Amino acid sequence: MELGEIVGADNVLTDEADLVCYSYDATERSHMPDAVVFPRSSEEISKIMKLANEKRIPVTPRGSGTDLAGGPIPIKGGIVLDFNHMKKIIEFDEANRVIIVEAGLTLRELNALLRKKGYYFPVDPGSSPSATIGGMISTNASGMHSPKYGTTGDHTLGLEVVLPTGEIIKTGSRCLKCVSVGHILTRLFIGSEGTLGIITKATLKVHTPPEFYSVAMGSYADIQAAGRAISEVIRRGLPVSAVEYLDGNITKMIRDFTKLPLPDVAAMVFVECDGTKEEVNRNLAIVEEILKKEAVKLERSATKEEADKLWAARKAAFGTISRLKPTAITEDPTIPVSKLPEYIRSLDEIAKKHNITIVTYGHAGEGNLHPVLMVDERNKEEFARAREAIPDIFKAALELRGTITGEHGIGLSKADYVEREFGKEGVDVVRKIKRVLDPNDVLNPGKMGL
Amino acid sequence: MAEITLKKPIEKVEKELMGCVRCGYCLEGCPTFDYYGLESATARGRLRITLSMLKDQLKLNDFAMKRIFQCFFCSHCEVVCPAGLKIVDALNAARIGMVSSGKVVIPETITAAIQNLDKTGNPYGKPLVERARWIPTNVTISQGSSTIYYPGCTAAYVEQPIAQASAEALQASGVKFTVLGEKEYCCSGFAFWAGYKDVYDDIVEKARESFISAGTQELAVSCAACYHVFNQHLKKEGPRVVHTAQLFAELLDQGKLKFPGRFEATATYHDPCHLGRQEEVYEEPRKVLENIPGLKFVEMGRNRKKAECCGGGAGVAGTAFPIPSLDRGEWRVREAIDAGANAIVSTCPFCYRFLTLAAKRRRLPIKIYDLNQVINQASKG
Repeated sequence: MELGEIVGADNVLTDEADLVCYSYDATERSHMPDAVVFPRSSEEISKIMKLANEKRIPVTPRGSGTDLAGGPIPIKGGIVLDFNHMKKIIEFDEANRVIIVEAGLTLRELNALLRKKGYYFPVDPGSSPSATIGGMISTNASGMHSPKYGTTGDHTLGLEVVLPTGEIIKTGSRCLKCVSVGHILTRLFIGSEGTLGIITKATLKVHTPPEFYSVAMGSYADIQAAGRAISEVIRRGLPVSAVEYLDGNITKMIRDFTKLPLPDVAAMVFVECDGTKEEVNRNLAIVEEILKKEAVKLERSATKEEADKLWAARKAAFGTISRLKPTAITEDPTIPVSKLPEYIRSLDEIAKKHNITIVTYGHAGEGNLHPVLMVDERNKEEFARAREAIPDIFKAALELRGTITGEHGIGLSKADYVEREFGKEGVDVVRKIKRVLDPNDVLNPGKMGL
Repeated sequence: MAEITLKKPIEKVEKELMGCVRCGYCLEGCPTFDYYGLESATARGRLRITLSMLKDQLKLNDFAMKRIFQCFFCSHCEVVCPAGLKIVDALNAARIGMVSSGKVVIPETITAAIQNLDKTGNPYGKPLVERARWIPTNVTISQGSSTIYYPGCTAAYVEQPIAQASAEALQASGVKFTVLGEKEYCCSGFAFWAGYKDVYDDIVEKARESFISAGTQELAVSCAACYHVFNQHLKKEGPRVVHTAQLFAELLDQGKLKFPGRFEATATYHDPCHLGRQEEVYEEPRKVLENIPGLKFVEMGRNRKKAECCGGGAGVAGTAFPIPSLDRGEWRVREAIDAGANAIVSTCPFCYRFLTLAAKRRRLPIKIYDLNQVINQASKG
C-alpha cells in the first residue's frame, strides 16, 4: 500500500517548493521531509504508521510549526503528518464542561466556539493565534496565565492516540477522576513531543472566563529591581493569574509593533489578578504596594479591553524580536522564583562574556524566562559565539537548581543537554519506554535525546 | 543567467526574508491558507520559498512560481506580523525575479493581460477609442479643468456604471472636472503585481506625464487599486491624488454633497485591500454611508485593517486562480449576510466584480454596489 492509496493522492505533497515549507519550525533549524501527508482520520494515521514500520520511514507529526525547540522538524526526512484536515469538534458536553476535539483544531478556533457559549480554554501560549490542540498537548504548552491555570496537560482528561506501530488507543475518560489502568497513560503522552504516539483526539476541560481582570505594570530602571519585585509577589503567595517580565529591549520592540505607550525603561513587570471586580481590586492593591517599592512608574489597566491589548502585545513578543536582529535563538530555562535577580544577573554576564545581545522576557511568576540570543546567522563568527553561550545559560539555571526548559520542550535544541539535568539513567528510562512503543524508531526520530 | 535575473530583485528584500522568525501569526486570517490549507500558501511559507531560492536551496520551477502567484497580495499578514515585515514587497520581488528569469511558465491569463496592456494600453485588450464611451450624455466635461476624474480600465471598459455614477455624483456636487479619455493611461498596477516591473515602470511614468501635461492639480480616482498606485507613484511629483470616497467625504463636510434622495438598504462596507490596509483610508467611506438617508449601516466582524480580501488578489491571483478567489469572495459575502446586510458597498471596481461574481455563483441574497453608485442615487431627488 502506498501513501496516496491511504489518504488520496491530493493529500500527499512531494514537490520541493511545498516540502521546504514543512522543513522548519520557529527555531533556526530545518530539514527537508520527503513527503507531507494530510490524514483525515485516526484510521488513516494507523495505516500510515503500519506502512512506516514496514518500510522503516520516519514520520514526524506537526501542528502549526510554531515550536521553539525543533520538535516538528523532520530531522531524518520521511513523512510530515499535517493535521489541517482533522479539526472536527466531536462533542461539546456542556453539562459536564467537557469538549472532545480533533488534534488539528487550533486554540483560536476552539476559543471562538467556546466563547460564543460563555466558556473558554484558559491556557494561552504566545503562539495562540495558530497553535493546534495536538501540538499544545504534545508539548504541554503553557503561557502567560499558567500561575493560575497551569499547563495544557492540567486540562486534558483523555486522549485518543495512534501508537507508533499503528494501534489506536484511548487513555483517560471524560470524568474528572479516572484510575485508568493504574498508570495515568494520558500523562505519558502529554509533553512527549510526538515521540511516543500521535495524539488524534483530546478530551478537554473547559472553564468560565473570569468576571474581571486587571494588570498592574511596574517600570524599573534596574533589571534586578524588577526581579526582586517578582520574587516578593510570589513569596507573599498572592492569588495572581499572570506575572510577566520584559526587559527594555523587548519592551521597545513591542512598543514599535503595537504603538502602545510603553515606557523606555530597563525592565517592566506585568502582574494580573482575576476574579470578581472586588477581589481583583483588593489583590492588585497589595501587588501594587510591592511593585512600587523600587518602580519608577506604576500603572494599572482600567478595563478588560485594556488588559487584553497588553496581553496581545506581550504574546507577540517573540515575533517582534527580528526587529533587532534577524536570527533569534530562544531558550526557556526555569529557576526557582526567589533566584530571579541572581539569574537575570547571570544572563547579563553571559551576554558580556560571549559578546552577544541577549533579550529577556518570560513568565517570571514561575521563574520561566525566555532569554533570546539575538544574532545574524550570516555572521558566522557571531553565530558561533551565540552557540557557545547556550550551555552557559543552561549551566547557570542548573546551578540555581532550575531546569533547562520550562515549557518549550526538548526537541532538537536541548537533546544534547537533557542528560546533564536528569543523568543518563534518568533519560534511559524514557529511552526504554520509547523502544517498547516504537521498536523501529519511526516516530519523530532523533528528538529529545532518545 | 536565469538565476542571476531571478535573484537580483530578491537580494534587495533579503532583510524581509531573513526577518521572519516563523512565529505563525500570519496564518490567522490569511485567505489563501484558509482556502488551500497548506503551509506553502502562507506568508511564512512563501517567504521561505523565496529565501530558499536565494540561498540555492530550492530550484525555481513552475510549482514554486504557482505558490508565489497564488498569493492575493491582500497584506493581511503585514498588519498581524509582529516583526513588521514588508511581505508583499518581498513576494513581489520574487514575482519580478521569476518573470525576468524566463524559467517558468507564467499563467496564460496573466501573460495575455500583459500583452493586451502592451498592445492596447489596457489589460482587457479593448480598443483605445472605446476608453471614453462610458461618459453619459448628461454629464458635462469641463475641458481644461485642473481636476481630472480617472475611472481606471475596469470602470472605463467593463464596469461602466461605476464610472458613470462617479461622474454624475461629482457633477451633482458641483465639481467641475475633465477626463483624459483616449489619452488616459492604465495605472499598470496589474503589471507591477504580476511581476512585470519594466512594463509597469514604463506605463505608470507615461500616466504621470499625462497628468502633468494636462495641468492636473487634483486626480480623483474611483478605483482603489489605481488610487494606491498613483498615490505612491505621484508622491514626489504630480497632482494631489484623492479617492472619490475621500473627495465625497470632503464635499459632505463642505455642504456641497447633498442627499435629497434615499438609498433603501441595510448595507455594510467592504474595505478594499488597496484602499484600507495599504492606504489606511477607513473612515471616509463609512462617514458618507452613515449620512445617506434610508441606508442602515452595519459592520462586518472583520473590518478595517482586519477585513477579508474580496478574492480579487490585485487582479493577478483572481484571474490566474479564479476558484480560490471566488471561494474567498463567497466567504466575504456570507460574512456580510451574517452581519444582517442586504447590500455590500465597496470602493473598488475589482471588489465589486469579484463580490458580484461570488454572490451570483451561489445565488446569495445580497446586492453589491460601488460607493459612487450609492452616492449618485441618493444625490438625485
